[in-house]
Amino acid sequence: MIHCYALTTDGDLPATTGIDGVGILALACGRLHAVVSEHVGALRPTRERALTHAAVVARVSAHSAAVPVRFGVQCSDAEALRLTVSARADRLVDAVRRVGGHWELVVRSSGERAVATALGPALHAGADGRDYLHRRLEEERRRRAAVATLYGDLRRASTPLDALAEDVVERDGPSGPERCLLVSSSRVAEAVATARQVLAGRQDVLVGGPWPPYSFVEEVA
Amino acid sequence: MSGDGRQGLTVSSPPSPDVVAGGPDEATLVDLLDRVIDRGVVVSGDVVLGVAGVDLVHVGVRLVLRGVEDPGSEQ
Repeated sequence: MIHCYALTTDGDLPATTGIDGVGILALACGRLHAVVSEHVGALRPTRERALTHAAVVARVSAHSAAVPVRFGVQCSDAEALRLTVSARADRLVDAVRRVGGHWELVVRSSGERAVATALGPALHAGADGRDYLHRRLEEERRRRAAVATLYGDLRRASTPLDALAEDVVERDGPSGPERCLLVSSSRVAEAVATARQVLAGRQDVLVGGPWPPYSFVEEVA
Repeated sequence: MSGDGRQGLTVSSPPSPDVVAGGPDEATLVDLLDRVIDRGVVVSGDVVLGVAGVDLVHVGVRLVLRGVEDPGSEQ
């Protein structure tokens, strides 16, 4: 089974090993190279393997322009992977050129359940179905208002970082609303230093990264 | 590179494990895992190989894995 980590336009790879200590290879796919490792049988998804995947993607991204591939993309046939990547080369090459050599920072609330905290206590249950629907509508309205408030807080907190970012994506993450910033490798040191200044003395906001730009690429079917 | 997957900043050399600022490592580890298992490129599709207009082989490339299990449950 072939496990895929990233796609690059440069077949030169850093010296590193992949999942389960297996060496990584550059599989030529037309104008691109798929960074892969070969295994016996399908890999079971474990936290350790996911983090190893992340580490390989980060090393490859630091070495050359690359787009990260989601953990779990596996193929039993190298030729099929090669043909699939080659058939979508235009979009994938464009993605490498757009985000290759960039890193992602995330700004989000540090509370584990930021939206729930912003919502406040649950509404009292209604007496009948009509009351129930009114309650649900009110809960949805409050939820949207809470999310909008959180995004407003995050935008204010990350204003100094926005000036260093080439793109910003706002999305719901595992811990609530988050702002993902795409920063060039030439400015990421400055962005990290700025983030530390922004966060000095604050406990309500958290900045993570830098990571390869997972949030700035998409599924290519 | 350690196996914990934490990514850090070193512009001129491969990243070293680090967290930018603020919050426990486990919190940002959740953010990283979310990205690794739910974002990034997914290359999928079917490829048909043929000769002279005759389809000979149908090859599928599929996303196989989605969930992440705890290491303790691995056989």
